[in-house]
Amino acid sequence: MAMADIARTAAVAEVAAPVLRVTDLQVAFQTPHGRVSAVNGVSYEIRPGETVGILGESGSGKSVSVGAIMGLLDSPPAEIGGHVYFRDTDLLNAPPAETRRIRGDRVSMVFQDAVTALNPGLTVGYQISEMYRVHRPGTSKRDALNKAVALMDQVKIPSARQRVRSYPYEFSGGMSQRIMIAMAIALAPDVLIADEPTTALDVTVQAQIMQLLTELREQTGMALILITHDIGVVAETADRVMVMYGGRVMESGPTAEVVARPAHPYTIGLMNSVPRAEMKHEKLRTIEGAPPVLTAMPSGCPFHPRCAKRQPECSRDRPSLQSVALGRESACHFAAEVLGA
Amino acid sequence: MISAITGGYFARRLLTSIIMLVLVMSVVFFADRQIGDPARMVLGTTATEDDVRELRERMGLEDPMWVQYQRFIVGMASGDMGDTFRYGISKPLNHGEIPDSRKTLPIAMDRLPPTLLLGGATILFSVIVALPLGIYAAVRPRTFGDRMVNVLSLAGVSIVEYWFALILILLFAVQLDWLPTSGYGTAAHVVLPALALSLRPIGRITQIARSSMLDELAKPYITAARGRGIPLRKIASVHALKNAAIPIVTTIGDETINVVTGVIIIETVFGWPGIGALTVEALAIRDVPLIEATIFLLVLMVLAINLIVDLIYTVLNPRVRFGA
Ligand SMILES: Nc1ncnc2c1ncn2[C@@H]1O[C@H](COP(=O)(O)OP(=O)(O)OP(=O)(O)O)[C@@H](O)[C@H]1O
Ligand code: SF4
Ligand SMILES: [Mg+2]
Repeated sequence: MAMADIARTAAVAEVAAPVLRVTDLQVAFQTPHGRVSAVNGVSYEIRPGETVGILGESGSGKSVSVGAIMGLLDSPPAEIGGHVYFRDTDLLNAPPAETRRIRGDRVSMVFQDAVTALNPGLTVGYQISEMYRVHRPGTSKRDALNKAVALMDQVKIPSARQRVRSYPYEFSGGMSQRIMIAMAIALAPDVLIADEPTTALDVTVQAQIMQLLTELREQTGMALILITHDIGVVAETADRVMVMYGGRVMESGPTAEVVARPAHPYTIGLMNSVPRAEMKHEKLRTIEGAPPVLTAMPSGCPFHPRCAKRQPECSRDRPSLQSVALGRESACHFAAEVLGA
Repeated sequence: MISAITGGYFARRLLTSIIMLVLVMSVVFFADRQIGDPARMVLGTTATEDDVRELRERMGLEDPMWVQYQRFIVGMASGDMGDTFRYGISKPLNHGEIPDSRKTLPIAMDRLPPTLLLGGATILFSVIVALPLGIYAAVRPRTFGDRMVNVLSLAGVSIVEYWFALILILLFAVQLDWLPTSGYGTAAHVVLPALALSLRPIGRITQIARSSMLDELAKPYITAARGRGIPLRKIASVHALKNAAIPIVTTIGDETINVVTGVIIIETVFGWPGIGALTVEALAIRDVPLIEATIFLLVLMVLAINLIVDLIYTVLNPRVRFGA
């Protein structure tokens, strides 16, 4: 299983050029308490058909990092630096008219809470068909509505034809998320970003939504960026994973390898805090302490106040993200030892 | 989609409207009999007590109160609210021709079209100006443009209508001689009174449009719409406006009702032959049946506006339709 994943990742990497390249992404906010840095030097790329998982606790900068890509952050207060290339267009620096046409069409996003992300005053049919009306000018109302029905079928909403004229409040949370997904895949995007698409849902519905996303990725060959704080979900679906903490990347690499042999104490902490079948009778260990607040970022390694392996230099020198194996990086002074252990 | 539940809802609303109408008109009935003796007004201070009593009898004012009240209620229900005491008889009032009938309700109804014209022009103009202003300000908060809109709308709600009307007359009619000072008949005549009346609605509607648009624009569904590449113009004018519409419509309704009361003064100032001016005339001569007929129509207008606003709610809010 693990070997097959690695082989597939390698195969994808060879055939296709990256569809999205994020280089040295920086996001800071001007707040009443001063300037805070929420995302600091995040870089990654994703190829067609690939799934990249972004993993991290609450507040680690996952949403902000993709919000910058999707143009969701208001400046002020946000100050955004770095580059995000979709093919040859820098989404952070190209004219808004150009990036607007890419967002929603070539790169689209599914939000954590579909119920609040849908417009309560417009029918779901209007909201889905609007994707065609906006990005494919000339599509007739009727055509767009028919396509909306087809999409609702595709995301498995029962009796789509009748429900296309319903308002969002007439749908459950899971069904609302399906509608969000329908909008996001309407124009067959090259990249789909799913920001914790299941956290607001019941456990059984969560599995269905993940299943749907995986199926759609396989059918369409789009690249999927999956944000979650559930390492189990990442392990099941992502080819590669990026672990974030305090706005920085702690570790990245092929999921199977990272899960099998983590190269960062924080990753180990995350894995230990997941309930697993074989440790039914053990007490669930969580990482002690709380994630850092942006206004009081620890010196040196941001994880040091909570790290079991910390040494004196950890609070002094900030470890940079370094290659630890082929395709793997870790930001820990003792990455080699952690990996070897 | 408009279901039987909605039908029942409107039947209920209609019933409350009728009760409101009867209550308000009853207050009018008792009040307008306390504001001075109409018979003495007609006959002057030199008339004898006997002459006054005889005229009061002819006017029906000597009947027992409950008989008068009964006549009044039946009159409203049957659409015959009695004869005018003196309108068009002693001397033609400012604007009217001598009417064919002495029935108060037809006399009052004749004055309805000018008022509807003035009120309609006022509200239409106000909405056309205020809505874009409010939306404009909301999509660029804290900019120079937003601040200007804020100051102007605050001025609009603060300035006294009557005073503003006089300024308008002095400036555009007397000084510049662009527009007539008063009267009725041409499009030019409607400009100044409509301007005077629209100042406050423009201010209020702008303020509410701005604040409710700001509220909506901060919601997650707007962020999500931006992420779908929907143009800002469309996000504001369709996505946010659809949800901001309910407070805006409420305000437009409230302001329309304010215009209905505002016409009473403004029509008098501009010599506009509407129902507002007629109310003032009727009050001045203590023409009790005519006062009652004009106020009856004014109250009916207010209630009709409320019903229309309610109807618009059901169109705007999908949940209302299901009686939620
Ligand atoms: N507009 C803003 N102004 C100031 N700080 C902000 C703003 N938006 C986000 N932040 C901060 O940026 C940090 C990262 O937030 P982000 O939403 O990306 O976290 P996350 O990893 O997505 O967490 P979660 O799992 O809870 O969704 C948080 O500390 C948050 O408070
Ligand atoms: S650098 Fe030090 S504190 Fe940071 S993760 Fe590694 S061992 Fe822990
Ligand atoms: Mg988040």
